[in-house]
Parts: sequence; C-alpha cells; structure tokens
Amino acid sequence: MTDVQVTPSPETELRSTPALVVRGLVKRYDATLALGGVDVEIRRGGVTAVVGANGSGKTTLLKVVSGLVPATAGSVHGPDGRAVHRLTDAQRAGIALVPQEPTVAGHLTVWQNVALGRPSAARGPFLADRRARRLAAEASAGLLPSHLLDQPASALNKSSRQLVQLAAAVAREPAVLLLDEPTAVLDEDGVRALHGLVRRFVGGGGTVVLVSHRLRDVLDLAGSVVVLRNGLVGHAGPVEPGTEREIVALLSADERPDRRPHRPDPTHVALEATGLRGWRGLQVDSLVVHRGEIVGIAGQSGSGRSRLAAVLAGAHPVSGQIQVDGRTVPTGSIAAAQAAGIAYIPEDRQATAIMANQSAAANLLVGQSERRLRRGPFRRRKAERAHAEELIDRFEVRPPEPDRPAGLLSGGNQQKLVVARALARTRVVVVADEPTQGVDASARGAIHAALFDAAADGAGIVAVCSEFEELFEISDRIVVLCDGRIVLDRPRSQLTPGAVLAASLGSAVPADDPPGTASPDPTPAGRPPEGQP
Amino acid sequence: MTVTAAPPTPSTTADRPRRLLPGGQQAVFLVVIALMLAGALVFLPQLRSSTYLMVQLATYSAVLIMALGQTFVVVQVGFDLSTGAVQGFVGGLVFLMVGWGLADGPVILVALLAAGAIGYFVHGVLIAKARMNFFIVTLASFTILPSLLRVILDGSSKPVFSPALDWLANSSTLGIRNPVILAAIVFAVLWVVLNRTVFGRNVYAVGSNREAARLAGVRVDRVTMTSYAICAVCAGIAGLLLLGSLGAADPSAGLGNEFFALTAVLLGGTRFSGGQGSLAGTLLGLLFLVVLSNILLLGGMPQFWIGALKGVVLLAAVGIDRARRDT
Repeated sequence: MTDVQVTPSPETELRSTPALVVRGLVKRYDATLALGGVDVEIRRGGVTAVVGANGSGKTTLLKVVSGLVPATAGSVHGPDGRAVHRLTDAQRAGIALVPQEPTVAGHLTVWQNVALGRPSAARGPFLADRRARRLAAEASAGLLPSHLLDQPASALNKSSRQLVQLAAAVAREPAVLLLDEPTAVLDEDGVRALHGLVRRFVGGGGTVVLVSHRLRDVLDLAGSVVVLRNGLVGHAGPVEPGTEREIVALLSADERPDRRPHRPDPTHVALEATGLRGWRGLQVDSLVVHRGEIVGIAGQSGSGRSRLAAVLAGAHPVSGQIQVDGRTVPTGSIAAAQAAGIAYIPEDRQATAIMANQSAAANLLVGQSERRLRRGPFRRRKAERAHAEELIDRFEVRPPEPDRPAGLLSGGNQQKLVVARALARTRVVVVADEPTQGVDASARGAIHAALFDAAADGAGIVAVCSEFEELFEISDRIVVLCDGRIVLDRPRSQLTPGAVLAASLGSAVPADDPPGTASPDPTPAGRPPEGQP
Repeated sequence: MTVTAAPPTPSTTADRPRRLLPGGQQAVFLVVIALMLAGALVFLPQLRSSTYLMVQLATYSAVLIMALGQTFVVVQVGFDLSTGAVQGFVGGLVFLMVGWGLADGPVILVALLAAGAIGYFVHGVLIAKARMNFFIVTLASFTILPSLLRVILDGSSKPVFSPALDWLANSSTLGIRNPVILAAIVFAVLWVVLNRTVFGRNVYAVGSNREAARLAGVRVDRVTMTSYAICAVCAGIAGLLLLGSLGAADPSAGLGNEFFALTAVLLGGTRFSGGQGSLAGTLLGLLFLVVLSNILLLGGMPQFWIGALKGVVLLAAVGIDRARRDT
C-alpha cells in the first residue's frame, strides 16, 4: 500500500537517468533564504513526496524547478538532461506545475481552460474548438463530471477549479507533474479523483513530485520522500517500513499542544439561524450552535457549506434570521456581524483573506476595532505593535517579523495570520471555513488549540472541514449539507465517517450507521436532543 | 554554490525586507534630486536667486496639492481623471458666488464643500456603490465639468476679485509665499491621515485586497468614497490657488494638470496596482519634475520638448522600479 510503483529491475534502473537533477539550488527572496543549497535527484517514474514544515521551501523548490522563478544559484536539469532556467525551458522539458492556489480563467469554460495553450487544440492560428473540447474531455476524464465541461470556470467551487487546473496540466502531456499541495483545497471526492489521476499518470510512465501535508497522500502514493528543513534537504530516500514512522512523526501532530477542555452549554445558544434562503439555492431551516460547542460542517464542495459560512459571517445577504446571543443580526453586513461578536476565517486565502503587499502586522490589525488600539480616529501605534507581536508569537508565525510583507510568507504562515486576526479577541461565534488549509502539523495543532481555546472561553464554533480526519477530531456535533440543505445534524459520537459521506452524497439513510443510534430518519429538522461533549 | 552548512534559521536575517514597501527608493530619489539641484545651482546662475526658487515653488504648489489628494485614490486602487476639471470648475463656482455678493469666507467654504461633494457623492458613490469603473466615472466628470464651466462663464475668461484668494495666492508670510505654506499644511494634515489614522491604514488595505479588507470588517465603500472626496477637495484647494493667482475664472483653467499630478504620483513610487505608495514619494516625484524641467528650460532646451521628456522620465522610472521588483 505504501508504494504503488513496481520496483524497477536493476537494468532499467541503470538505464534510466533521473527525471530531475537539482544541484546546489539556492533561492533568496530579499533577505529571506528560501532554499539554502538543495541537492536532490527525482527518480524517473513513480511519485516522490516532498514534505516539511510551513516555510521550509517546498513551494519555492517547485517554483524554481518549473522555471516560474529564477534560481539565485545552482542548477536544475530536466528529464531531457538539459538545464531549466525559465518557464519555456520547463515547458520544453515537459515539466508542468499545478500551483497551490487554483488560477483559472473565470470567463472561459472548463474545456477552454483545460485546452488553453495546447497547440493541438488549434490549427495554426485558428481555433479548432471541436478537437479542443474532445482533448479537454479526455484529459479531465475521471477528474470532472462531463456536464461541467461547458460551464464557465468561475461557476465552479475551489475544489473543482483545482481539478480543472490538474486536467489542464495533464492535457499538456508532461513528463514530470509537480503538484503543490493539491489536496489542500480538494474535497473527499476530489482527493479520490486526484489519487486516481496520479496512479494513472505514473502507470503511464510519468513522474510526479507531490508536496503535501497529508499523511494519507504520502503513504498511499509516494515511493520516495524528500524532507525539507529550513530550505535544506533533511532526508531523502524511499518510503519503506522503516522510514514510514519518521514521516508519520513529521506529518502528524503527535505532541498535541495542551488543549483546554471545552464543554457545550446546552442551555445557552450562541448562534441560531432560521429559514435562510437565497444565494444559489441555500436553504437552511435551522442551525443552532451552543456556547462552548464546536460544530463541524461537512458536505461535498458545492453543497453550500462555504456559502453557509459566508452568510453566517455577514458576507452575503439572504432572507431569514440570524441570532447571536438571542439578538437578531441583519444578514449581509460584516460590520453588524462583527459587532455582534462573530469572527470569520474565509475559505480562499489568496483572494479573500490576505493583503499580500501589506505587512504581517497590518494584516493582523486591519478591521480590528478594539478600543485599546485606537484613540478616536487615530491609531495607538505602540499598542498595535504589541498586539501584532503577541499574535505572531502566539500563533507561531515564521519568520516572526511584523514588518515583513505578508506575501513573502509561506502559505501556511499566511493562514496563521488570517486565523490570528479572527481569533485575536474573545468572540461569541467563530465561523471558520477550512481553518487549517495548507498548514503543517504543528501549525494545525496550534490552530486547533486556538479554536478549542475560543470554545473554552464560551464561543460557539462553526468549522467547515472537508477533511474527515479533522472533522471528527475537532467537532462536538457534525452538520452535513447537500444541495444547500442540512441533511444530517447529530453529535459526533453517533456518527461514523461512512455515515457522513453517505449523507453528503444525498442518500437518505446513512449506510453504516452504528446500530442503536438515533432514528433512521436524518431529516433536516433532526437536531440532536442536546449537544453532548 | 554548494551545499553549505547554513545556520538552521536562514530566514531571520537582520536586514529588513522592504521591497514591497517604499523607503529605499525614496532615499535614492532624494539623492538624485539633491545632485540635480546642486549641479543646477553650480551651472545655472539664474537658479541662485531665491526669488526665482520661491516663485517656482509657489507656482507648483497647486499641482502638488492635487497630486497629494490623487495619491489616496491611487493607493486604494483607482485614478481620478477629473482633478484638473474640478480645479477649473471651482473657479466658476467662486465667480458665481462672488457675483451674488457673498463674503470670502463662505465662498471658500462652499466651493470646497461642493468639490468634496462631487468627490464623495458623484465619484465615490458611482464607483463604490454602483460599481462603475473609476475610469469611466471620472472621464465623465472630465468632460462634464469643463462644459458646465463654459456655461457659467459664457465661454470667456471673467475677472474675479476676492481679497482672501488674492492674499492666499499672491502674498507671503514671514518671507515664504503663502501657496507654499498652504501646500505644507495640506501635506502635514494628509500625512497624519494616511499614516496615523485607522482610515489611512484601511486605504492601504483596500488597495491591497478589497475583498479581504471587506471580510476583515473594513467598510470598504466608505474608504473609497472618502478617498475620492479627499482627492476632489485637494483639487478644489488647487482651484482656489489658481483663481487667486490668475485673478480671473478661465474656461480652460486646470486642464492638463491632472496628468501632471498623476505623473508625480507615479514617479513617487505609488503603483496603479494599489496598496503601496506614500505622500513623501509624491512630493519627491513632483520636485523631480520641477527641477528637471527648470534645468532643461534654463539650459536652453526649447519648451516644446519638455512634455516628451517628462514622458520618457516616467517610463524610465517605472521601468526601473518594475525591473527591481522582478529580480
């Protein structure tokens, strides 16, 4: 199970040169040394996982190898044995990168996106639409349902957009596929589709370099692993029973930071939403979150889980009622939601959460209306500085420099800024949409601890989690959405991952519901008797 | 480079990463301007007269004030094409009110309020609330306001006598021309607003990522509307100065100044992409343009060439900046 690749016979191993040879690679961004001299060879065929903490240089390595950013020093040689200096070299050598954040042309259809820039999708300067569409359909087989091909890409959710990007990369028939945390934004279905794609691609002789924080990706797919530490290779070798434990230790939060116990208070409702209607078919009759309770929201992408989160946070107006602590909050007003004590961690970090060319401190301070941070319209700069430094320290933002532009931080550290901003002060309700996307094990532990902390302080937490492991790890109660409606709402102790998956796919009765729990009728109104911890 | 025994924490180098923020660039700029000025003082004796320098500073004070206001709009992502038009239009308003026999105080106040209202309720509301493109909205004002001005003035230049504006534009206080003092006051006030208030930080935040700022709780529409109001009020102040120095309301007053001011803003390191820039940069950008054109004029270059040179300088400055960023 650990290695999908058949071990090559000695003579083929001798014959085959490595797919990628990286020598003494140094990448410096201003004062930041992202890669401090990386030497690594990626063998041809098979999957090599690149793992390491946030900011260890994983993304930078992929960017340099794919010619997206120039190296400061050192060399990269591609599968054709020639040096890769810039993007065109990488394209010639057949190296394709799928970046962490889905970037698709929103006005174009899915098939147009997939076929974009592929020479065989045109006849000379003229478009060959029918052929291009067929190529796109082939490339996205097994990744995307065919009815999505003619949709504009902007109509797709983040998970599907990521799959479009994967299909587009595959359509270029690369020799080496570089995947930067592909599963961070994928839902369960998407992860399965991705795993299938990687297996097919490798089966066809391709080489995959996979950056991931997920143990499952590494153990299921990778034949070898490269561990990066602070811009240097800490370990490189095959995934074997002996090394497996090291990887597990690296990827999972074995030492959990002390979490304060929290206890849902069934007599005290933090958030109550009733009769929410609107915004592409969102139809939530009733959602109750008690103080001290963590409610996990599950569902396929497109099920409305992120829309529900955005609506609860005041980011989008709908009809219906939202009450916080018994007081009605007008929908569609971030300011009103904040005033009522709702904090929001948005889903799409690059597009909707991070101000990349502002300092880390500014990112932490924007929108913070605490009185101790201001004097009338004026800023109290000492208090602000202390506040930012305290948050950077508490959430372990690396490097811990308040003046560094947020765009120069790694994705995981940017996410820490977003979470820190939302959890900076005591809240009544915290709405977190994929709070740990793209962060490493220790940051994930810190973010979970912060959510537990908020719950222990009496906040009601609504957390959208596409990863079942996380969903079951943090939730007291799990709410499943399908087609914009709540189809299941039960304490976690009465649920299994199978039941949640079945409900999210729309089957009426959870398939493997453990016997003796609840009724076989998961109606939308089926609220648990009370939120037991 | 080979594998080095680098310290385990390479990312905490002492020097500060300031690439995305102004700072270093301004120091370079200051040195360039100082060198240019020093060279000019040596080689061009006309420049050594303090009256000449003061006249130059006073002449460009109005454009500087416009450029300072424009900086707010550009930082939050946008551009106000109508600042020159507002500058001229304010002259027409003053002409009307003086004709009605209003006192100088109320005239100035009403003129600036009218400019602010155009910025906030016309530009700001149409751009932020009605989500119309800033270029289209301010282009409309760029054609509407001069047309209204011609209607008001019946197509010809009209003398306007206002003692207060005359004093503001043409007198000195403690040996310094009043427009220079006024520009200094506007600079100080706007600097505090941009750098020391919550609103100022929100201007940068909105320019950097509008949706992120909105979800973080910033009232982004208000930030945009207020920025356009600040820009229009600054153009109004510039209009009062222009009117005072001309002693007349002119149908073509102010036209072209919007691009002069914008050139200064962009030379000063403020970027169209938003979230970056500074008032000090705008000041330096304008000083650079003024020093450069003076040197060229006094050095004997025909006046017709000045515009071409400004354009080349702008391309060079922005190109250098772009190249520095990409490496």
